[in-house]
This record gives sequence, C-alpha cells and structure tokens, in this order.
Amino acid sequence: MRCALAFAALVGWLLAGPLPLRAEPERRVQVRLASFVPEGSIWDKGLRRMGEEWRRDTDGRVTLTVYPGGQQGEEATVVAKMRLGALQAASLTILGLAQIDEGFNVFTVPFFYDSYQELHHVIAALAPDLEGRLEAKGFVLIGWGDAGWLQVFSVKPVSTLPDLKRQKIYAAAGFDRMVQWYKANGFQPRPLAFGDIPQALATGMIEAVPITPVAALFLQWYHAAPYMTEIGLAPLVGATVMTKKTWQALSEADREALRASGARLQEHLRTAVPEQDREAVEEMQRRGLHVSTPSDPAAWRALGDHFAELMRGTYVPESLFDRALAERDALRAAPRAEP
Amino acid sequence: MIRREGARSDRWLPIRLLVLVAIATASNACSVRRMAVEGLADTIAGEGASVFATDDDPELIRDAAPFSLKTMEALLLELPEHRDLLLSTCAGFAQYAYAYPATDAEIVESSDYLEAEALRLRARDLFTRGRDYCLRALELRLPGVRDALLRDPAGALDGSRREDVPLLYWTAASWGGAISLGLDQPGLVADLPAVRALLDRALALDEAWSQGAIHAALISLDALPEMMGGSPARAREHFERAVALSDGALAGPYVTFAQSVVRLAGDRAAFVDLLDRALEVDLERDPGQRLANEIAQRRARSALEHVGEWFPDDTPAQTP
Repeated sequence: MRCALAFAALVGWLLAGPLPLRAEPERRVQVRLASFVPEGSIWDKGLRRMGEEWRRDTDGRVTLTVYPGGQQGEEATVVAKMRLGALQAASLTILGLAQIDEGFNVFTVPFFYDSYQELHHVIAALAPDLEGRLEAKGFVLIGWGDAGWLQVFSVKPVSTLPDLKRQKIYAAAGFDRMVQWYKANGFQPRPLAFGDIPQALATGMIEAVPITPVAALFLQWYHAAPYMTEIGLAPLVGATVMTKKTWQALSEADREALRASGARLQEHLRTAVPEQDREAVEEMQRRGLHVSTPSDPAAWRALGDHFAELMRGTYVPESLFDRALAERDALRAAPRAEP
Repeated sequence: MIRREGARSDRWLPIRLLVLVAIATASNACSVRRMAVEGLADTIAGEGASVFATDDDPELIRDAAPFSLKTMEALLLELPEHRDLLLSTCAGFAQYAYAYPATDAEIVESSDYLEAEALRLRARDLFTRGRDYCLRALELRLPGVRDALLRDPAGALDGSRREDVPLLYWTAASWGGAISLGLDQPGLVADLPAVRALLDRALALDEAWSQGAIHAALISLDALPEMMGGSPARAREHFERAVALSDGALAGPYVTFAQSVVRLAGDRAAFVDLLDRALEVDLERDPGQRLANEIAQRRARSALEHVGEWFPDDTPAQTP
C-alpha cells in the first residue's frame, strides 16, 4: 500500500513537472515618517515627493506616509516611537540626531563652518563614521537635509559682540553646561523651551534668539525682534533616518531605490534652502526687518574658537571633532578653482 | 459663486445675462455698449452668483465657472474701477480655486501626489489672482492700504466700515487660500499677519456676517501652531460660533475643524464624528448654500476614506 502511494506521488510529481524553487515572498513595507517641518513647506513637499518615488521605484512595495509639523510629538518622543516600532522613519533635526548619537553635535559648533561648501565637505567626509554610529544604535540614514543657517534676531541692534552680550539671549533648556559657558563669557543666557520663545520675546524675558531666516519669517518672530545680525552662527542640519529593522526587511534593490531618492532630496534641498533663506530675508526687509553685519568679525571668530575648544570632548567626541577640523582646514587650504 | 451675501434665486437671470453679454460684445454704439457693460457688470456682481450657488450639479459649475470668470475679467478691462465687480471676481476665483483644484488635490493626494501638487499649484495661482482683484477694490476704498498691510496690518484697516466686511472677508479668504497652498513661498508666508488683520477687522465690524463665515475662516487661522500665533481653544470657539450662526446648516465648519485642530490633536473619534455631522447636513435645507455644502461633503467623504493614514496609532503598521 505504501508503495502504491509512493508511486502515485511520484507519478503526480512527474505529471506536474518539477517543483519550482521556493520563491522569495514579496516584501511590502509601509513606512510611517514623522517630521518637524510645517505641512506644505519646501521640506514637507520634498519628503512627499520622495515617498512618491519610493512607491514608483519599488513597484509599490514601499509606501510612505508623512506626519509633518511635530504631530507625533517632540523629537525625543519620535525617536522613542521609532524604537518601539510605532514609526519606521523620521526627519530629525540635529537635536533629535544628537539624542541618538552625540557625534552629530559636530554640526552645532558656533562659527565652525564659513559656508555650505565647508559644511557639505565635512558631511561627506564624516558621513561613513556617523552613519556607522547610527546603525550601531538601530537606525539607517537615508539622506541629509539642510534646514538653513542660524542668524541672530534681536530686539535692539547688534553691531558688536558686546552689543549682543547686553541682551538676554535664548538658550535651549537642558544644556546646562552650555548655559554656564555662555555666562562665563559674559552673555546673559535664558534657558527656555523652544515653544516658550514667542511669549518670552513679547514680555522681554529674552531679547535675542538664534534662528534661521525662514523660521523667523514662518514664526513671525522678526516683528518682535526686528534686527538681524548676519553672523552665520551655525548651519541647521537635519537627516532622514529609518529603523534598521524596517531597512533590513527591504530587498537590496529596494534599499538602493530608497537611497537614490533620499540623495535626490538631499541635493534638491542643498539648492533650494539657501535660496529660501535669501528670499525670507528680502521679504522681511520689505516688512521692516533691519539687517546688519558685525563690525568686529574677529571677536566673533575668537569666541567661536573658544566655544569649539570647550565643546571638543564634551558635547562632541574628540575623534569626530578633530576629523571635522582637519577636513575643514584642508578645504580652506586647498587652492581655489578659477571662476 | 458659492456663497454671496444676500444672493437670491432669479430664474430669468441666465437669460438676462446672455442678452447683456450679446449687447456688450456686439454693439458698436459706445453709449449703448457702455450701458450694457455696466448692466452686465452690475448683474454679475449682484445676483449673478446665485445661479451658481444654488446649482445641484457641481460638475456643471466646474465647467461653467471659467467662462463666467473670464467674462468678469473682460468686463473689468472696460470698468477697471467697478468695485462690486472687482469683489465678485475676487470671490469667484477664490471659490473656484477652493471648490475644484484645491478639493481635487485633497482627493487624489494619497493615490497621486504629483497630480495633487500640480492641482495645488493651480489653485494657489487662482487664489492669488482673486486676491489681486480684492486688493484693487480695497485700494480704491482705502488708498495706500496695500503697502500699509505689509508694515502695519492692523492699523492699515482702521478706515474700513461695516459695509466693507464682504471685501475684507474675500481679501482674507483668497489671500489665506494662496498662503495655505504656498507655504514654500516666503513671499506668501510673510503676508499671514495681513490675513489675520483682515479677518479680525471684519469680525469686529460684523461678527455674524454671512452665517458666521468670518468665524469659519478663523478656524483655519487659529489651527496654526501656537508658535505661529494659533490657538486650538480659540479655533474651537470660532467653530462653535460658526455652527451656531449657521444653525448647523453648513458642512464647511465641521470639515475645517476636523481637518485642522482635531486631526492635529490625533482625536480619531472626534474627527469621524465631525465628518459624519458634515455629511448629515441636508442639501435641500438652504438652497443658497447647496453647492458649498456639496463641496464640503465631498471633502468629508475623502477625509473619511483616509482616516487610517492620518491616525497611525489606531491601525498597526504593516512592518515586519
């Protein structure tokens, strides 16, 4: 009997032809991404276009839903939600990135970068290190994103460093050591939650705030602080990251498609964001903003160098700081191409 | 075309309009032609809107409105300072932009983002075109107001009176519509204080105007993040007042409140409840609001279809 069954099975197999090799199941992934940029802004539109490319280039295997404007909570909350699997990706600012890994603080050193060219050169040089550090903590970097360059907006004009020291300046709450450094250097820092800035400006609790021109326009803070000192305090850097768990569920081809799309968004922002800042300044000037450059740039640079020394090894890991410094200085020393 | 204060039904209006268009375009005698043009302008700026607002076929209006808008623009070439026609043209463009390309963008957003973006760009340009007609009318009423709105928005409108409320409202509605679709344009975003000043002034002059239309517009403005001057509590007050002043006969306030404050707050149950209430509004109850309600209900149905995307915590992600 058993022989008959075996024979029947054999005949069945022969008639049916050889069994196909086990097909790899098609992996469909829905990615939920939180961002802190306003819905409809240049960054939000870029992320949604990226989502459209993901769907197109993976034949619908990867879809993206964007939750903009901090709908999913503060950056720390969003990072926690990603770790829990409630979100699969986020476009974080340097605050959120530094919460995952302090190495990202290398982009927050005041007056360290003179231009986007320097910033992008250092990003390119440090990206493998930083991406490795992120991956060790469970995240994969999809693309970098420029968010503008911080300038100082103040209630009273600022022509010199002492002018700024005479005004009460916003400092991010929770960075006690930084606040102490400010004080030790003659500033009057007022640590606050970011959301409390409008009220603090209105009541005189603070008189100066570092912010990008686009943000000053969006938030209308330039009405209360109508003097912009063009000192190029620091770039505001962000990046889109995905959980490693989600990333590993993708096929290699789909990962490649996502990376390529992330790179396109990165390049788009590199062109569009400086232009947005420039336009924002022009529009604010039409509405009463006064723009000036400091008369004592050497004093500001010396202050930047001093803060850089303080941040090396405290806020920024020494190895990354030194690498960034070497890369920046190498670019500065390189002969400039003829225009 | 969708909402005009005091719009009444006039069954002979389409025929009168056709006759006036024929005379205005064909006549060679200047005085006759001028009279016809002015008559047409008065008619379109007055009761003309009601033939659109009361229609029960939104697709017919989609096709018919552009001709009407271009007729208005042609008349404005002849009568560039006809204030009522400037206002009607502004309102017409704003309503068309809202009802068609902007609403279509919302509906196709999740299936075709690039198409939605193209539709929003078109809507933004139409809103902006409408805004410019309103600003021309406002400039005639308050010379220098356009520049004044840049630097001192609230003070710029001191000279406006109660009869200016429709103009203040439509300037704000068209401008606000353009800004809401142009948040990547610093030149548009910068004018947000002007929109608030226009609506605040209109509210101070005639709070109950047009079944609470000013309150309905302020829902969106106060739904902005608090750091941008918004306030969820104020938005709720405006929503409740808009519903009270319209006696619940308008679907728009329910949809706007659901899609702004309630969506951002992550309250799925309230979101669905509000949209259901929008869909319960009887289209026959107020014929003058028929088209506006149809468009609002179209938005409500689309929003309900995508409720799972907007409230992620309620539907587990399909992740590994």
